[in-house]
Amino acid sequence: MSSEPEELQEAVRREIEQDRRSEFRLIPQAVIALTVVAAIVAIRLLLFP
Amino acid sequence: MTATLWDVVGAIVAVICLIFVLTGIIPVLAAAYSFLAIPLFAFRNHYARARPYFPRVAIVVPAWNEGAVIGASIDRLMSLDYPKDRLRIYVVDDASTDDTPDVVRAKADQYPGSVWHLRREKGGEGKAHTLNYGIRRILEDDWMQALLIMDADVIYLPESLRRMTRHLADPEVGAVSAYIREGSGDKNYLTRFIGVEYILSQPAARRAQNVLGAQACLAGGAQLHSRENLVALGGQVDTTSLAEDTITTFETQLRGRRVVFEPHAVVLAEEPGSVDALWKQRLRWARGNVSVTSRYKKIWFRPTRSHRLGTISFGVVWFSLWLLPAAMVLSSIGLLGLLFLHSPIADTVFRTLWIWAACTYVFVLVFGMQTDPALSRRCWREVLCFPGIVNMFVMLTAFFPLLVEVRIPALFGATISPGAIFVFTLCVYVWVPFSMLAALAARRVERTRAGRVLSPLLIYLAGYGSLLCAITFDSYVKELRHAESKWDKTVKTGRVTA
Repeated sequence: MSSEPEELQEAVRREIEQDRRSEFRLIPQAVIALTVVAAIVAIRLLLFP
Repeated sequence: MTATLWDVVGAIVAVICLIFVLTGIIPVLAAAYSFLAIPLFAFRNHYARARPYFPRVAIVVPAWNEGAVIGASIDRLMSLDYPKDRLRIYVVDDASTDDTPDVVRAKADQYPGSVWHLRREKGGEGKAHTLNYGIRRILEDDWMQALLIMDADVIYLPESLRRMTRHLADPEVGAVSAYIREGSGDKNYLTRFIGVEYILSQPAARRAQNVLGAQACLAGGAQLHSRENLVALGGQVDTTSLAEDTITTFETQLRGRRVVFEPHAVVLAEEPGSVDALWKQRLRWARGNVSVTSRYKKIWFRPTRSHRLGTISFGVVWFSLWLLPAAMVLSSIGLLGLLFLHSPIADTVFRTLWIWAACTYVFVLVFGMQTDPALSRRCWREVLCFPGIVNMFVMLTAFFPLLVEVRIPALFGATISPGAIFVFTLCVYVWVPFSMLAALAARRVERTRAGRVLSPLLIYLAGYGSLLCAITFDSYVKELRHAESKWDKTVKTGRVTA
């Protein structure tokens, strides 16, 4: 591990950090999915009581 | 007195029917629970313990008559974004009768010291035996620090291996898996359905399994093991069942090592393009899962500190998938029973079940598709039709009863009689088991002249989920009949493209 060039290690470190951060997209994605479900339920309740 | 006795019998039957119906809600709740856990992956992932790490990786490629694909596969592996002096490819040629040996030997000459041809003169025993032959040879010296098991036809995106090895920097991790993405070059309706299924089952559901702390299965075409893990497993994979990947995954975790799913390591794979080929492949998987369920009967629902396979949540997720067809049939029987008993709760129970199912389906699909938006866009028709057009109509009926039974007929100046509504309700209640029969019919008609049109039509109507349920149901039947388990190789033609 330590024999790898420092630039490569740094690049991989950045990649790990980037991937870790990208996982936070899951939260708004889940919110969007829940919003779609909520919209369908609202249509049901409002238009077909 | 007699009337009272009949009332009691009726009430007991109604309760039994209700229990049957409620079995149908368990898989729905399990799916909802699993997908609601996915956002937690933002906080509960392994990146904090991942480090830049480039172990010496031996890639073992089992090959039987892979002459059409193996050369290109080796070239692509040699172009991986990984230090070349830390990569060796061992092609285990399982007594191929085509030009596989010639192709591999030519590649060994082209990449001296990096590509190795291991020939088994007596083959045909299955993938696990082939792998073990290669693993034994690789373990004979101490060069290998990590072993990547893959299929001959898959394509690793250049940075995939690097993204997998970084997790092995943590000694607690025994194995890492990647996202197997459907990558057939000549896509058809079925490969697109498989693409949608893989999105839901991998970047979505496997993130949830990471959060729950237990992985159900390392992908057969992309599993990276540390040497220590491989040695702890006895230096071989299981050869006694059709589910060697799942058994390897379970044994790794039972020995206290973690299995990590890496969603950013993408591996493209060729998938079956016909219902018949898919049926054979998935039947093998389903029967393998039956043996896994039985083999590990002492771990289910028994939480321990050493691993998470025994947790209630993992058990519910595992069994809800495995028993989904049984739950669907029981649920329909229960609904029919309530209908014929003229139970006042039949309608409420039906609507509750299907409204939950519809909400869960919408949530799962909308969320799941965002985890791989590019592939989802290419498969948008299959995303929309994933549960089946008829099933969507049933959901619509449950969600908006007046719309289907009153308002739409009223548009044409018609009214539906109570008798017709009863027959319609009957059809709706029994559709789920019939959707599995429709999937079976899709397989039967596929080879006929009309099959080119009828087979896809039936799958779009019945739903891809019904097809998978029908295959799982077939595995129940085969197990009950103690039918012979054999390893059918899925025919690959090198259709996969990056």
